[in-house]
Amino acid sequence: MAKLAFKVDRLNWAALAVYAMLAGCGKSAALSASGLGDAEKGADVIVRSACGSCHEIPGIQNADGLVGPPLDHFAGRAVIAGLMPNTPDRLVHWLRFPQSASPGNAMPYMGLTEKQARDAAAYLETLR
Amino acid sequence: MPPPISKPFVERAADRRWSGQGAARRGAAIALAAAFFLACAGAALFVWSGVYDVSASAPHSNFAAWAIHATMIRSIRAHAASIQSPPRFSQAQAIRGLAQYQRHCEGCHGAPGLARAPWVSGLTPTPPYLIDAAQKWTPAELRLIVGDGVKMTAMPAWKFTLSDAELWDLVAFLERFKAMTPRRYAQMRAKLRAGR
Repeated sequence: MAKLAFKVDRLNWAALAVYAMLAGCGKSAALSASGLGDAEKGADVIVRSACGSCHEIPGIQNADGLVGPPLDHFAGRAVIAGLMPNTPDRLVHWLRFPQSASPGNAMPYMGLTEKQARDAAAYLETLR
Repeated sequence: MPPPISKPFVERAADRRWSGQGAARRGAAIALAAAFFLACAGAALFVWSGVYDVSASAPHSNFAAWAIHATMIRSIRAHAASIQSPPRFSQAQAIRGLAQYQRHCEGCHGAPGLARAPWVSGLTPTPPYLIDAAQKWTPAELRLIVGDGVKMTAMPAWKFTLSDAELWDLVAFLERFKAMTPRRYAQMRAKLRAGR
């Protein structure tokens, strides 16, 4: 019984340590936001829109999708969707209307508002 | 001198109590018992206080998201081991599965080029798109997820409303999901909707 208690206690501490580490990671990404929108809110938009089920996205919970391209180093990528230059306005337009920008591609129209798209874009621009 | 095996238990305990080793061991046992008690009391206080936010509008903490997701994955891998999957699926099965998917799954999980219903983004955790589901899960695992559902994720156990054959049809469709272009999915969907 005492042994079990020890194990449980140790697990709790390990969990706390991992949690502290993960929380730290999330914060640092959100703080280095660009002027686009609110990167921290953008992270929430990205989680809620299930972007991570199709894309690998650093700093987003369980974002391990293998459908579209991984979005790491997004701020440094030259071209969006293999089609257009990676500028803030083009990115926002792409996030809002992927089907009008590239008809027939697999990324759906998700009904993001302008503000939601700007926040999500701000998060993506923190990925250096 | 024979070994003290024959000594009564109480006497042996008394011997230990006076030795330094026994005292140290007793101290450690008390410390562990106290730690265990504190952990239990902490857990009870955590539940009783209502401090944990169960609202779906607040995102999971990174730790909770990881713990829940990892538990789900490990559980499904372990529990699917007893499920026997058919060696292969027919095209007819996949087409019947598409009809089921379109009827029961598309709203929450979307499709190539097709978004989920808008309200689905309000679910926490939010349901994933499934185009790469067959790369992440074996047919047996998919059968388990679809048939038995996943607790606390809003994923229902479809085996209470769909037959065994219908569940395998769905798996057959998911196995071919990534081969389906948005255009092809839209065409088949339109055909199904018109036929109804």
